[in-house]
Amino acid sequence: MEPINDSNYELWLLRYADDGLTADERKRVEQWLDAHPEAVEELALYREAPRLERDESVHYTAATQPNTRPLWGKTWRWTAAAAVALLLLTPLALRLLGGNDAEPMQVAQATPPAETPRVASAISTTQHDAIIADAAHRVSTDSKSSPSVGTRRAAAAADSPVFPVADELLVNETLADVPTDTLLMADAVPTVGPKPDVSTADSAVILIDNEAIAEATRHVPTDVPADDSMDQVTTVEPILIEEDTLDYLEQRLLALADGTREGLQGSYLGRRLARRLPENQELLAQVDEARERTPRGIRMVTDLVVKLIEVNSKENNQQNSITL
Amino acid sequence: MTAKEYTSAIPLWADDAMRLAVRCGGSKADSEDAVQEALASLWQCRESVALEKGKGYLLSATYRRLMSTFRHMKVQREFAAAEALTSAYCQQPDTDFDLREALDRSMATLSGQQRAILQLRDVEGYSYAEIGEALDLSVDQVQVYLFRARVAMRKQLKSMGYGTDQ
Repeated sequence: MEPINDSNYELWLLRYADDGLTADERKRVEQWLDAHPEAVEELALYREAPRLERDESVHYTAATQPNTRPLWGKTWRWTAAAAVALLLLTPLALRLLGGNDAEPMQVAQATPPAETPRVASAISTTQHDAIIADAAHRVSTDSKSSPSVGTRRAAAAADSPVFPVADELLVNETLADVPTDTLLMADAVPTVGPKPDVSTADSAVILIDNEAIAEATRHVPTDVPADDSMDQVTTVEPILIEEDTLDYLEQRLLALADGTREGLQGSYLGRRLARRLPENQELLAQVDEARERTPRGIRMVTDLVVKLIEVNSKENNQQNSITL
Repeated sequence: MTAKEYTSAIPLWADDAMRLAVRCGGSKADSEDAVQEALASLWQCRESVALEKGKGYLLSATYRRLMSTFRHMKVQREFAAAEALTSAYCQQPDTDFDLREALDRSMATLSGQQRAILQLRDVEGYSYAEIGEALDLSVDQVQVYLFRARVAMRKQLKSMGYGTDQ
């Protein structure tokens, strides 16, 4: 140990106070203290300082274990059955969705393996009818507007918890988990609340620019400050959204709520959307606040995304109004 | 660490991590977020973390997450506000509030790192080496920071009217 001096005396004094020195070293400290009365005072303060006590009133009450329960059932049989059913139904659904050859409904595109689109992983057999009915409705709705864009039912989404609860989703599910040729059907995801009222869709159609949303979710912003959590974000695989419905976006964001880094990525989308509305500074501030509170804040961001798009759509009254 | 070990150990460790986060100045929500993210991190790499190292890993990860959050939230402003508040008390000592409140106020003047060291040392009973490992500091650094933290805290308490007999 170096001789005691003005730059290391604190170390010596702590060890002196903690009885961590030999007799010879203690003597050296005492000699040094004789010449440094201010250090004697510091040593006294150190010794008088109260020790902290365990605060038994503080408890961690949130979840302690990531939920890894499969999205589509608890057993492999269920999942297998859903996968088979999906394969059988895909051609039919594609035909329904793309009934008008000139204006086919958008489906997941075949992409290189590195850019495998992320989609709902499977559809249970009990949801077939709902999917087909909803697909037919989509075609009907789309035919009233530009057929190149998708639709969503904002009114229903605003009031009812149509999203799947987070613990129904796989943690860290990756894009590569999803077959590339799987039909992307946001409404196929099971819901915990009432199903959106399809009959109200016409009055609440919001059109989203598919490419812009895909672009927003494909890239991580470059203006992200560097720190531990942000470092994780830079390693996230790109999320490709081949479907353009906001329903899917909402569900995707909530799915992200279980994974911190992906949740952050989702929150970036919220901020980008908020930036498009400079008049909504308050909302922008809320998004910023929510970003700081990931993953909990991701739910708030999700709500804001919905709200922002609704506001934007009403104000601009035009299609493809969200440009990121 | 196996999944079973994780499941059985975490309920015991989570509260300690939460206390560390709160002690470092995190709000309840921020602290829970930090602990939750640390738990998720531990869960993801549980197979490479030995059971006996698990708690240290969790506390360390919680601390880092919280500090990261603080950087984002520019908590320095909160520290400055707390310091100003403490200074006000220094100018006009108020002996009505109890020692615990005084301790909280004096703690508010310390850095997050100093608070973490105090918590790990006094409450968790960690050795200097364990604290250094958790906070990524050398043993000498831990000892110096601890010394300064205690001295600073005691000075604050004194300035608030708490003498040596309290």
